[in-house]
Amino acid sequence: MLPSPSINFSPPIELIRDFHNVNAEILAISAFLRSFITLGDVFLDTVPQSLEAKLANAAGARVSYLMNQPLCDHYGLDYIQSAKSCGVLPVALGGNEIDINVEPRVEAGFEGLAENAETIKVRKLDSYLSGRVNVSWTVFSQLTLDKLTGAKELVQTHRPLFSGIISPECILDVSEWCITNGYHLVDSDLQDIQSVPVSAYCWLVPTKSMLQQAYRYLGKDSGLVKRSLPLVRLIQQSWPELLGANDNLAKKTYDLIANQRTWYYLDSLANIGLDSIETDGENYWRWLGKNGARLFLPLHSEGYFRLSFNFFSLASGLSHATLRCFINGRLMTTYMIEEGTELSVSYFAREAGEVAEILLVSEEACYIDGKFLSCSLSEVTLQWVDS
Amino acid sequence: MTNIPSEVVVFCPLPPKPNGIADYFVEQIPYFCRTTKVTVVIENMHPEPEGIAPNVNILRLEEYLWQQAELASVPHIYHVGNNPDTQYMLPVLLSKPGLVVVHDLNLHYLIDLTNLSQGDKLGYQHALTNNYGSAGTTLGKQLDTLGWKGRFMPHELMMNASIITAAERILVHSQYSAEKILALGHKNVCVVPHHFSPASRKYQPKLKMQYRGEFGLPGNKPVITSMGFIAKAKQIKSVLSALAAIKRSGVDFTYVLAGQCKPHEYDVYQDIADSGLQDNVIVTGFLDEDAFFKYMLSSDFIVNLRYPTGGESSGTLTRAMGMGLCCVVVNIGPFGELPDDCAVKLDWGEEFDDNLYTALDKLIRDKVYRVSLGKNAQKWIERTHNIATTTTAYLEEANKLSHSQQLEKRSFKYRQYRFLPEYDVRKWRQTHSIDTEKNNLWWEANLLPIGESKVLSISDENEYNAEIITSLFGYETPQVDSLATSLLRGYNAKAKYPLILVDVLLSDISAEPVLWLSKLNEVAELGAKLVISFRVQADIYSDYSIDRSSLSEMIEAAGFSVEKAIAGPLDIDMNNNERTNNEYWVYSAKKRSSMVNLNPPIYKNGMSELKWMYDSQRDSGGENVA
Repeated sequence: MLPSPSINFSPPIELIRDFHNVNAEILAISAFLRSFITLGDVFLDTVPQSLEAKLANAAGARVSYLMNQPLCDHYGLDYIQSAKSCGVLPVALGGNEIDINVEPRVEAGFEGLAENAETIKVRKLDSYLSGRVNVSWTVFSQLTLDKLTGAKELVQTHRPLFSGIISPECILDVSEWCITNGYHLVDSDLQDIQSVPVSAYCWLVPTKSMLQQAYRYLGKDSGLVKRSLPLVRLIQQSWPELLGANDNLAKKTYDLIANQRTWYYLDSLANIGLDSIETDGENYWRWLGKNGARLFLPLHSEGYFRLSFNFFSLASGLSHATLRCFINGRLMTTYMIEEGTELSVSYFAREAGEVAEILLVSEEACYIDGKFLSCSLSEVTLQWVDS
Repeated sequence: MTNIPSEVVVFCPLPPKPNGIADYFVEQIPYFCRTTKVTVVIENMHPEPEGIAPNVNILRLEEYLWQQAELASVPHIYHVGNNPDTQYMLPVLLSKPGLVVVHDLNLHYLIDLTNLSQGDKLGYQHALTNNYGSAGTTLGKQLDTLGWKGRFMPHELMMNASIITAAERILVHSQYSAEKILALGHKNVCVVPHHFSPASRKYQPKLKMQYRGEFGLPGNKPVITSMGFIAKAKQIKSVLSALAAIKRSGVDFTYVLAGQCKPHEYDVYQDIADSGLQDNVIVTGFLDEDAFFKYMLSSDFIVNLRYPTGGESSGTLTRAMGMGLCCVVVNIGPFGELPDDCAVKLDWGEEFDDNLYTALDKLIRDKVYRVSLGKNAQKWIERTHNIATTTTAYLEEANKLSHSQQLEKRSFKYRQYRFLPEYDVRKWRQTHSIDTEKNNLWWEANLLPIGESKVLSISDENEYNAEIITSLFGYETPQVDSLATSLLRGYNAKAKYPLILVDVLLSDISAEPVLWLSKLNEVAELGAKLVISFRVQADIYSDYSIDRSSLSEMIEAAGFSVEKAIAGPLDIDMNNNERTNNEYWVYSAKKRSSMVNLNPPIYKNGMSELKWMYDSQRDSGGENVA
């Protein structure tokens, strides 16, 4: 007879959430990826540096990045050009198909009057993915009924896994769609959901067997564990396959959860305003210009996070720089940085799916070789902090 | 007070930024706060503001962009000047109409900072196009090719049209500036004098000698001062030349240049050396506020010349006159509006240098004369430049603003145009019966954007075109205004269109093509898309060359830029040799400027004739008349 939950014992998934909600999300992603018999194409319209992308790549999927339309709407050509340099395709997912031409304004006073226009094709899943051989998983930054309605043929042919953020207003429609199409609508704890009080990350699972497999990987039936277990012991005890297998997916999952952090490759970091990557063979860095740099880091779940930035150097002529860090429009800190400074900023994400838009801007800049430079960034890390 | 808003958002730099506009506005803040909640928006990298009352809400631009929804209905005031410190507000100013306080009439340098200063020559060319139409494009290309920019002063080329036309209301400090803006077609212009600084009350004219002692200025010689940033336009060289002549006549003096100089822009030291007045001239460098006022009151009179003028008012001049100092100015622009008995006003011309010598000589020798002028000036300033009165005028103007639209984005420098996918157009063609005798090229080429608020269709086949606009491109019938071709010339649109479709015979425009096309400029918004289709008949007579490339140039002369040009029909049957009777030329264009050139080079008919098509009444919105 298994012990009942008590103050000393809890289901492991509940315990891992106590460390941070994002841990449970990572486990769910890893479990579903491992549940595929053959993992084919994965399509994401999140920013390229999302956890889904990292884990899908580790699992050996063919990952394609699609354009995040809300960010395109907000930032236009700046975002599109940066995203394309990170391998994002100029295609966005939608319920109605249109071609969006993004062009500079004509009024003197705007920068970039002579930039070339870009076209983003908004396509239904069926038309964009027709002819594909093995579509395994599609990740939406915002999952709405119209996107699913445009995936009739895809569902018939491939029955892919879907996931993404669903708002309370959309959950009923999506739930009905799942019933009609034989999908299981679950949260990251693999519980059935009919409604959500706030936006939440949800999974649309195509088959019962996949759901059961994921269930097994998540150790849902494995019993309770001691609440006092440290994190490493907890993950060793509770998810031996997910985190202990000898493959890249397990190693990546373990790395994320055991270290409670993720970090970002500078060359594939979707941003606005960072200069091209530079290196001395050992170190890599990117300069911030006069207007600073804007980074987009998906936070994936609610909870406390710590964002850390390592500033490698300052422009010649500067001994220090007064740096301001904004996150989602709030001035978080004003900090005097020098070469080698690591700046950490705490941030509380209120709901799942929040993307931290970080603006780093320096009060000081120097004009060097035809452009304004202030400081260079060499490392960006996101840690999830105990609740 | 019902004509004062309860809240305002003000875009303006603040101290410690060394900027006259910052100093100016910070003096107004306490008066604003008596009746109105003030939110000030500063740039993201602005140093920590100093000396601002805690009840003033200060937001950095990034914070403002995320809080736009809460502030959408609050009147916005923009303090714009020709310097880098006001560059940050331009995207918001150009997107959310408000009250624009134009401190400098010519904003050429400010515009330059957004393109040429960053190495963006093509962007600078587009900026010139926006101001001057196709003539601006030509100028931009020549500047790029021939590198002439360094040889003429930016003041000689006015650049402010985009900012003026974006404003819902404008506030300036002189009638001169008001008239220049009214000439651009903006009707809502208000003149509010530059207030007299309350900070000056701390300083006593009777302590003149004490102030001189503090700075080591002589107590036994006249002290003449030119205040503020040392620039070429201040005609320092002429002053030095006149003073050198006065010195040769046996009069001794000290001439103070009380301000910052940038020798790489204007080498004043060379001019001082050339004049031989090294022993008489002091260059102070940048002065803080305290030193500024004390140097001013140490003076016997002020020389505040400005030529050419950018239309800017001089805060320094207001302070000097308000403190009872006699001032010498060039009788031009805002300075020409000073009462004749309050300042020495010299006409610019061949005799300027002689007149300057005479004026300075008289002011040095005749104390009664200069004191009397100074007293007149002081009384005039007290009467007309009271800060409580001027700030009330600001708020009353702000209260008249009506724009409350929320901006939905966080970057405003782009615009989206939506189009159908090609296959939607093909599919529609297959499922609808098409009249092959009509013009189908414009829609088959998929040049018409979808989702705009209004469409103006100009054609003698409006019924057919309207059917396509609604059925294929998804517009609702009330969104489409139709106009017969012959009615365009006399069309009096109350508001402008974001999208215009023109389907006409080439002969309809052949008599005066650019004049005809300029009418389209009159009815199009800035940035509007134009799809213009010409049916080409055989044997058209025109005084002008109306081939395909010439038409492109004419469309550009009318203030548009041609983006695509297509000739067709597209559905010629390649399996037979039947000649088609219908040839069409379709141009897709975008309106870049309200300036048209009614006599473009393509006419080969002499000088250009530029005409400005903007009218603020029409551009501010209203009902269109079908």
